[in-house]
Amino acid sequence: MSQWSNNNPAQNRAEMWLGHWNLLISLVSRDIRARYRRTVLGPLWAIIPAILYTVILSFLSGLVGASSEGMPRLAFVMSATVPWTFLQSTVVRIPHGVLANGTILRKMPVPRQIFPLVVLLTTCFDFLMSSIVLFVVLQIFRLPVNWTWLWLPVLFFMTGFLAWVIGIGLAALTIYRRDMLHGIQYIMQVWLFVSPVMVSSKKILADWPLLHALNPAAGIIDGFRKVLVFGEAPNFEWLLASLALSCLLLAVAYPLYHVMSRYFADVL
Amino acid sequence: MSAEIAIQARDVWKRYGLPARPWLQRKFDQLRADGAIDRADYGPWALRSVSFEVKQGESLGIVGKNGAGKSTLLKLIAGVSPLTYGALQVSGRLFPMIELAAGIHRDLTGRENIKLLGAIMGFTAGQMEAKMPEVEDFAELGDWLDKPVWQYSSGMQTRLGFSVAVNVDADILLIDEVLSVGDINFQKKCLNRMDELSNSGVTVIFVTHNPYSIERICERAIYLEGGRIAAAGSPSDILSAYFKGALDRSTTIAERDQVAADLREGTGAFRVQAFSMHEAASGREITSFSTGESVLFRIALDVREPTAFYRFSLRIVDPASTVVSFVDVPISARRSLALERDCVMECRIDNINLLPGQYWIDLVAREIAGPVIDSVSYAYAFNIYGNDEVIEQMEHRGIVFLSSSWALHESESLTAPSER
Repeated sequence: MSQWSNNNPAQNRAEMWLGHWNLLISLVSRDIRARYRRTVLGPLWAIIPAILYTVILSFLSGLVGASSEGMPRLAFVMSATVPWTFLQSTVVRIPHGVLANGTILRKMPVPRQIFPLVVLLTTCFDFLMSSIVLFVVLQIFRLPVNWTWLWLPVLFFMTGFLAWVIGIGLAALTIYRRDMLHGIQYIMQVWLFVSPVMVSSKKILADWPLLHALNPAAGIIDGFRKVLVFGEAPNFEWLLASLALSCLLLAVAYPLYHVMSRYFADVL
Repeated sequence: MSAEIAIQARDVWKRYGLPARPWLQRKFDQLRADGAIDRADYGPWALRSVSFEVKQGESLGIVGKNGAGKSTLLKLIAGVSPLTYGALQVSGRLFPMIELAAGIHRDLTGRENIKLLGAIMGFTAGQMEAKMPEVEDFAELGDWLDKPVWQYSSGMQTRLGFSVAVNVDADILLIDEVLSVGDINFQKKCLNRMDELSNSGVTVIFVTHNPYSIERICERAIYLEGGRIAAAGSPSDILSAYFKGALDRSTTIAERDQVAADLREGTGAFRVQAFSMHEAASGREITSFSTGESVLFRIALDVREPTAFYRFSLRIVDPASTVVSFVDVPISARRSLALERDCVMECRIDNINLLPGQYWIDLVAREIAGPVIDSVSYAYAFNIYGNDEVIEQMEHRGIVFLSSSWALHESESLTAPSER
């Protein structure tokens, strides 16, 4: 193993971490800035996916006559699609992000944990941008800000955590075989339809109780809707279940990613 | 670990890919074969039992043919790829000059990319800001720095990568064949900068399959073959080892070309049958000599048609394929060398002032202003060793040894040379 030794390890380590931090920030800023260069709509692309999802899913939801529990359908759907888009784009982009930075991985011994974090931070940026639109929509439908909004940071953190866990798991598998890279978008489609995004969680709970219990996203997405649209606190038990499932996944995904990432340079 | 050692590799083995399957296979075989298992069987190995040491400030060249394991070794030193077995210790800040374009984003401007490359190398934004003028100056990109990189030519992109690379501070530089890019001026600049770096106490590991450049840059070299260290030593020793493979087959024409003589190029009015080298004074056959000595080449000819006027040339080629001399039959001597029947031609060359190394000889005979009669490539290979004078005065660089003497004079005596 390559080892770093020098006269002043403490100072060296501090400098090294500063360097890693700087790299993280530089890569995030590269991704955010470069993504929208050479586009007409520019940074608007940060919010367009969430808006499109909202329009399509509201339309579908109306078409199948799903209940919006007496709330404006657009607000009802959008309160779930914005966090869902965050979850989905993070999961899908992490394996791509790792592959896309293969040349860096083959050159410098940078910490392999950086690349999923870079993706997570860029999708966080998109999420925050879309949240502004969501806020405007909620105001249009006169859904008031209330104390339950204090739950939002918790829900945001849990969404990001879940997405990151699944993302690194997929990235580790992708390093071994590329199937996941192609399959993941279809899996995400199925996941979308069994999550309380287009329909209410009551409906899913009634139809597929087991699926609801095993879906780590269910409690979180439902929590967003409860807070934003109904002004209620999220279902605490569901959140705990989500957190437990996320941690379980982490126990598999992190060691897998940790081991596999040592061989990135060999197989990328 | 001693403070002076920058890189220490002990019994390093490397197999690419994920380790699980070979590991399982080996364990399985071990169970069946009672543990009598050689790990070398579980390849393919990119590196096998490689051990070496590099002291701080030393420059080490690594040569070898494609697939010999040169780049693998660099990757292991850089720490981007894990070893399979063995130990490798690196001390100091390391900078790999491999994949120079790694991390360059085509949609960002040159300047943005410089900062990004700096970040990839582990520098903070502040440190990079301080380096900026130097880097910009070296890159010679001018206004292009504010244009997106996708508009750059490939040479300009490399220049961008190289400028960042050579202007950052590192204790150990890993260089992999990056000099083959850019226009001639930029290449020269890069070589100069590299000399500067290696003179300033930076440890340099230089990988190439153009072995000539290691003579310029390196103090020591290793030659990799099939993942093993086939030879280690001074650059000139390594150069001869490197070319030995190509030359071994062709040291004597007798073995190789007798049968195929008629298949060789040329009209075949006469054919070279054997070639040997002798000490000029005693006539004893030799295969090597020291710089500055005189030698005799004997060329046995199989003459089929009497030939009166012809040119006969010995082409002496050095390890870098540079023709160092073209020894031709002088016009005045041609008349006396008319060929009637089979004979041995003798060519004496006095004071061969070539530097130590391995050389080979190509033979070409042609009619004057006419077709080739016979031509033998790699007709003979020989070694030149350094004599005391050479070893004292030269650093094994260049091609020829020029004997020199030195003195100091008062300034006045040199200001008016015309009076003398």
